[in-house]
Amino acid sequence: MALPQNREDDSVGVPLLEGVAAGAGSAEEVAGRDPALDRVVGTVLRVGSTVAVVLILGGVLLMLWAALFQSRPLPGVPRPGYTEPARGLDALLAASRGDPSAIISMGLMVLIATPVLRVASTVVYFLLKRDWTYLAVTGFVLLVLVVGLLMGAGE
Amino acid sequence: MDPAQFLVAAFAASALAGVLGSLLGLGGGVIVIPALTLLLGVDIRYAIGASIVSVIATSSGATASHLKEGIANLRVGMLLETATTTGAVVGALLGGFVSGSALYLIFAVVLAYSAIAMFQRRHADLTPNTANDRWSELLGLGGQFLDRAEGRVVRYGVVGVPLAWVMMWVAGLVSGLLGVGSGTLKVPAMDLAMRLPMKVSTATSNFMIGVTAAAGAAVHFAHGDIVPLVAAPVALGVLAGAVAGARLLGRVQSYSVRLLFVLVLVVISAQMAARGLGLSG
Repeated sequence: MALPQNREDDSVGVPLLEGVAAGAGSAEEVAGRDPALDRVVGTVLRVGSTVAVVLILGGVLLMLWAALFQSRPLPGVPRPGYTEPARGLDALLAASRGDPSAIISMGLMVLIATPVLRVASTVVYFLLKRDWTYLAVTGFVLLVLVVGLLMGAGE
Repeated sequence: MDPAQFLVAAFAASALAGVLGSLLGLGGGVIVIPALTLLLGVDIRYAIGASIVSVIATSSGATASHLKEGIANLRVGMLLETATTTGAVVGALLGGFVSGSALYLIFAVVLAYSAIAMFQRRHADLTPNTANDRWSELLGLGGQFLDRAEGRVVRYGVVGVPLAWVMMWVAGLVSGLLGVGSGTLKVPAMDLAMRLPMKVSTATSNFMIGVTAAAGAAVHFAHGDIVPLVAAPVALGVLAGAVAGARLLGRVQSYSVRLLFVLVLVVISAQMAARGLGLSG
């Protein structure tokens, strides 16, 4: 794996990659170090964000629809002193009954889970590639994230 | 303010936060929290919860776009995440023990220093650093990207890895405590300590902030800080803004990004100092 060389004869910056005309060319022609890794990370992030957005947007639209056509008022803006109970697994049940607030909560949970899933997928990627250094690096991060999640669940 | 107006207002403010955040490598939390608390009268706890959501949304949305441009350095990001997540968990734990005012003041000082240092380096991208330190050689951290604004491929090396690691740990600590992504600390760390090109620092910060926020998110979720009415428009707005902003990053001059960042740092530093000294809500 060749690292960028420090060439003494560079004028300003570094010369263009061969075959890429000035101002033209696309990012695909710039060889990323790990194109497969980029694909894995990109896919996880895109899928996670999309699922989260669908749930959150769906929940908001449902909430607005219920407010307009079923006279079910929107929840008030939280003021100081207002306490909303933590929603965990009970949100799953409420969401399956079509409760908009719970659907939004599900979407938010998916959003929060997305970076964690991203790290997990990179762990698998480096395991399959047998890149032990980065397996250790990403594995450590995943471990710390799990510890964080456990601490939250323990409260 | 009635809930429907609130949804629209929160969405709009968050979209702006998303654009700025993805251009500057921030999570938008430092914009979302003041907007929610000062402009829309939301209790700080729920603003922090929404901020965590916004950070993750910016990170996911912007990174998915940046990857196509090849600007983010994933290896540097993954390596430094070992520092930010560790710091974040410690920060979340320390949450009850450290005085908020002291923290705001420390944050303000660090930001002011970063603003000055970054202002001094505003022209630095004309000759990108191509040297690598020992760690960078070992871990293959150097990279290259296509800078559309300058119309050329930029190759760069990475130095100052140990110093950056420590700075990232502190950034993570602040994240865990305040519920922000700490992009404002991460970008200068990469720009100044590792001498990464400005756009790479920004894109890599965007990559890392999601994981940093997620590390502390579970605790906040358990505390009920993340409420649907506040977090939903914020998440949607920030995501929309982040995706749009990421498209702009490749086309903007590094110099402009640096100046904008210095400006934002100064403003935020002043806000934080005011908080710490008890001058504002």
